[in-house]
Amino acid sequence: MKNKNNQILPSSFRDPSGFVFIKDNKIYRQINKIYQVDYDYLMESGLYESLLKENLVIKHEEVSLRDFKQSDDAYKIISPQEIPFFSYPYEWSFSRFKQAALATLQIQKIALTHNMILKDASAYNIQFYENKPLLIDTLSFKKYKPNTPWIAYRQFCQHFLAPLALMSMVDIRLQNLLREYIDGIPLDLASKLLPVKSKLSFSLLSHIHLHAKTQKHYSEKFSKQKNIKISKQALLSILDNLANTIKNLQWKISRSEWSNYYQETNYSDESFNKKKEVFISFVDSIDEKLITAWDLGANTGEFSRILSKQDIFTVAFDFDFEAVEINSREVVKNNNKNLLPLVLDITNPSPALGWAHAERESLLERGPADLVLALALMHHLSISNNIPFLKLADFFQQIGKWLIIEYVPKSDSNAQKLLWNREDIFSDYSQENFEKAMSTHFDILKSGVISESKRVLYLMRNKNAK
Amino acid sequence: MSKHQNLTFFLFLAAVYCLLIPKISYAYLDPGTGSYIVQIILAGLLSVTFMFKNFWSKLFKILSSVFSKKKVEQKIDENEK
Repeated sequence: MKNKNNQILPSSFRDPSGFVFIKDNKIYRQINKIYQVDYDYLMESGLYESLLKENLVIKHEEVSLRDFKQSDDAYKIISPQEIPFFSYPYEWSFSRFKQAALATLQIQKIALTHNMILKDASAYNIQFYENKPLLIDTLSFKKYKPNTPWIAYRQFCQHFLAPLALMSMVDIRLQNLLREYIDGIPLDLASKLLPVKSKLSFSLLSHIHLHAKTQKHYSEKFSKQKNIKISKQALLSILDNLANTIKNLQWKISRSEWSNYYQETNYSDESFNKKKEVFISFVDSIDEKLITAWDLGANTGEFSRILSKQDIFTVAFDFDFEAVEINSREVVKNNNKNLLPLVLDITNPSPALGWAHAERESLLERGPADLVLALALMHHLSISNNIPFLKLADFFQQIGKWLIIEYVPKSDSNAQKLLWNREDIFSDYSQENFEKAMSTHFDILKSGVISESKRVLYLMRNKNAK
Repeated sequence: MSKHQNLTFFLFLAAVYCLLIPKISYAYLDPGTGSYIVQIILAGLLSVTFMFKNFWSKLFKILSSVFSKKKVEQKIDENEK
């Protein structure tokens, strides 16, 4: 959101019903006159109240039209609840993705009972707030015309069903296709990639394989338009079937190198406790209120949880799908409202995507965070990925104000493992050079050796941060 | 596949066949038509099972509330004794 003050957000241009803008660092949404009837119906039919009660929609307040309107066609201006961090479907854990899909279906179902429907079913309209998936686009509803099909059905299949089916039945990493296809995975592609056994499932056969075929068939034909009628009852039955299909998609976690990290690391229990102790003392010594934290390489979120318990909203990134999934399930189980585990490879973080590179923000654009954690990470960045210390310092100073970083000496058994099958070209890899490089952008305030492990924990403050 | 699943599958293919065969050329349909067609096919097939499902769950609710009422009444009777 940085550098976007007092301007219309470039991600909200598609829908003529309104747009989102920032004024004095607060988010507002202008509702245009064209959407007046639907907005009034949303508020008066009881739908908004019902969704709010079920924790399915973002809460908003109407503000003065005169003071905030951005153009003459404004009907209302609303001020929605602030979301501390915007995440995208290509970053969600498998179970979170399922939750978002089921929430979308539930919203559509409740909307139908109030004679409204979701006119779009974009996964980007869902954000996680206080451990719950919320619809953030208040303008997604329109009045239901009896006997009409669900206009957003194709989008739902592309944004939710196809990626989840591919992640579940082919490979979890196919989630990354969503980075390429901003309007969801094309159904013909999903149909090609899914295994033959998916055709034995009535639902997947219909919603994906047949759907892909009919899309192709009718997009190339000139046909006599038929009077397409679908009863509300029939629509509800399709929603019910979609929900059951999503629920039945599973992803089995097998123990992976990283998700087992805390058990298999060369830390003894004593060293690990010492690390926690030093870490907590560093956090406590920061003499300002921390609102947000990013834990890079968070694994299953051991240290993220410590921050979240201190009321710091923490995003726990890891590139390992299993670790993020384990962390996500833990968050749901304990209803942790301050922790959001996301899949992200810090050596290739989410880029800016969409029209003019401005529809989906890059990781950098979503920062900076008040505090950044880089624990047991730098040896992977420097040794496995050849990232020089100076480049590390340069990146970290762009994403946060405070930094807690762990220096892992080359003699450490985990660092040695990384060197087993490669030539040691890292003659500059030393604690002295690390401190020197970090000092270009950070003031090193504290350091603490973690017992016998020889690793060192540092607390640093960005020299350029206000 | 069970007999029931085989029958559903057969009905499904028959419906697909019936709906995909007519191709009369007059007006241009947007690419979303394919999605509408699938919804129509599914609407026909799923609404019957959905109705049954709802019917059974309602019946189950009614029956269970009747029986639970009886149980409560029995308990009250026993307590009064």
